[in-house]
Amino acid sequence: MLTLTGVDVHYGRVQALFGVSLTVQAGEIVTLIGCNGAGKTTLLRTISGLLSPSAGEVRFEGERIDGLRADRVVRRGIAHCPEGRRIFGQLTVRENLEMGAYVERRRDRVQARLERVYGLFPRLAEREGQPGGTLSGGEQQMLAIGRALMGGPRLLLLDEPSLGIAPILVQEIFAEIRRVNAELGTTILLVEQNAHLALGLAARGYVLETGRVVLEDECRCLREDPQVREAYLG
Amino acid sequence: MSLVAAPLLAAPFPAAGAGVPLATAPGAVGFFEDLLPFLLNGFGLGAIFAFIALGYTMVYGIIKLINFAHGEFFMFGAYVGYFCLRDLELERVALPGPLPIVLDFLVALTAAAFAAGLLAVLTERLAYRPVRKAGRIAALLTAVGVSLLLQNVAMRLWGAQARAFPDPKAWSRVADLPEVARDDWHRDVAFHTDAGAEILEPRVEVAAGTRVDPALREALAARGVDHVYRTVTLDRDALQAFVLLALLLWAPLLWWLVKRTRMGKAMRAVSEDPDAARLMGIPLDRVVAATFFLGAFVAGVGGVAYIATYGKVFPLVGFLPGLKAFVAAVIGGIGSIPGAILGGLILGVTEMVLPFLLQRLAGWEEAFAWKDAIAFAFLILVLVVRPTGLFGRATREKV
Repeated sequence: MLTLTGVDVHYGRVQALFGVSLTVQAGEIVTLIGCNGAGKTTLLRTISGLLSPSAGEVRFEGERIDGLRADRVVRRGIAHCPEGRRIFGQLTVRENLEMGAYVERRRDRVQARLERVYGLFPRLAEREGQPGGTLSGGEQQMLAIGRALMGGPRLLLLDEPSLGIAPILVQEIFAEIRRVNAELGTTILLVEQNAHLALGLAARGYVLETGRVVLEDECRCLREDPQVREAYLG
Repeated sequence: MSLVAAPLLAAPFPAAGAGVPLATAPGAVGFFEDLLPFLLNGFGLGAIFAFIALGYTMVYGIIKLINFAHGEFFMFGAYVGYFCLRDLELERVALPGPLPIVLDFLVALTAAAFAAGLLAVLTERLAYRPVRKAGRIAALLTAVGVSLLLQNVAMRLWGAQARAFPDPKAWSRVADLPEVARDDWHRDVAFHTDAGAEILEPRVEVAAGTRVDPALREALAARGVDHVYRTVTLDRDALQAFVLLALLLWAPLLWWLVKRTRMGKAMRAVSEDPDAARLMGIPLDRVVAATFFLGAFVAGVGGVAYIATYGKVFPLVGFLPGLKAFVAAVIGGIGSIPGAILGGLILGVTEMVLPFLLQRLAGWEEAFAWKDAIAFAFLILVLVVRPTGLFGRATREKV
């Protein structure tokens, strides 16, 4: 479904990714783990069109999407739920969700998706009219995921959904991510610092170090890998 | 006999105000009676500032650019409105009462608004978009450059000289005037001879909205008059009421546009977090263009209202009102739509009423000559007390 081949990305003169190749099959949950600054977020931003690679190619469902504007990538069916949630604090919960469905002009579909998101996260329905900025961290994360789902994506890019959130809510959010994958059939590429959680959720994983993929395997094997255990599972 | 054209248009208000001996009636009733016109004029002027301030605040809200060329969009709108009012002659359409001139004015406003909007979209596309990623200083300098460029283009196209509004060069044959009973709305039809002029004399001045009835036409013919000198006369009080009314209609409409429509919500999303908005599939460029269009559209309306109230259009006409509208936007809290409206009204009323009070109560005869200084001093005062403006939020830098 998603294939990256030999992707290089530069920030000005500084190279952040070096020949990264990666595939995600339809229906999978794939995780990307690595330390701060390993290039995980850069990779997601490249897929969603906020950055363009200086070499290599990104293909989604067979077609090249590197160099495409972010709003066009969304229209292809990729939603990116960014690090730090980035919800619109002054828009209400409902308006945030409506913005997630910006590319969908048909009202009935927007309404159906709204109900689906409220079904997944009933708390959002309760807080529908509240400005997004007044929600707790966990609720904001639910909103960010819900907003990403409003576009009806086939591929969901999740960047650090556990960051800065109470442990209890993290469990809940990860359970919902699993449900999104199982019930909606949405393919998920998950970036996560908490390797325990990520490897527990995903089927396959990639380990990124200083801009390079150093390991890729099924998650159950990664969990047993001595290097991974030492570096990420402590 | 002298030119009697548009008595209400002839003198810009501050001069008229300064000429009135204000210190003669010390009684309280007299005081409020004297104050009232200043208050009303303040609201009229304030509404125009508000119209311009809306564009500053919307563009700033969305791309954090202080668009110094905004006053030139206003100027451009003013010129387009001027040409419409001068050349379209819609006031000759046979409609009852004041309707022809209202129609004339509405068409001029609409044309000015669209023209200013399109100029803004073009400017954004050609000048601002290429430097958007180059940082705020580069964008600001570009805006200053665009402002000077547009001023100079206007000078080349239309000359540096101020044109009186309305332009007294529009002539019509008496025979061409529609044969309708002269209405009572405008009575200021004047006959006059102009000794020094080389063109058709004597001439007759006919205010817009005036119908020439057969009796009048005969009277004119008896005096050998066959041409009229057409002016667009707008009642200043009616005009100011009209501008205020337009603002009262526009403000909720803009509010609705920004609060309820898909584009409005997208504008607010972009203003909060452009990157996150792009991830939602919101096309940044189109939203920015729409914001420029809307802001300049409103400024175009303000431009026509301004020249109709103050009587002159010239290439630099946008400078001072633009600067003051920027002040109004800052007073209201830049980025806030209700703030821009309130800031405009406050500044307009302050500019009119404060000099009046200083002259009347403090005996400062020259207060009206200092009105601009007073307005800017007021800005400084507001900013000392409330640095973020009345409706402004302290912005948090995102980490």
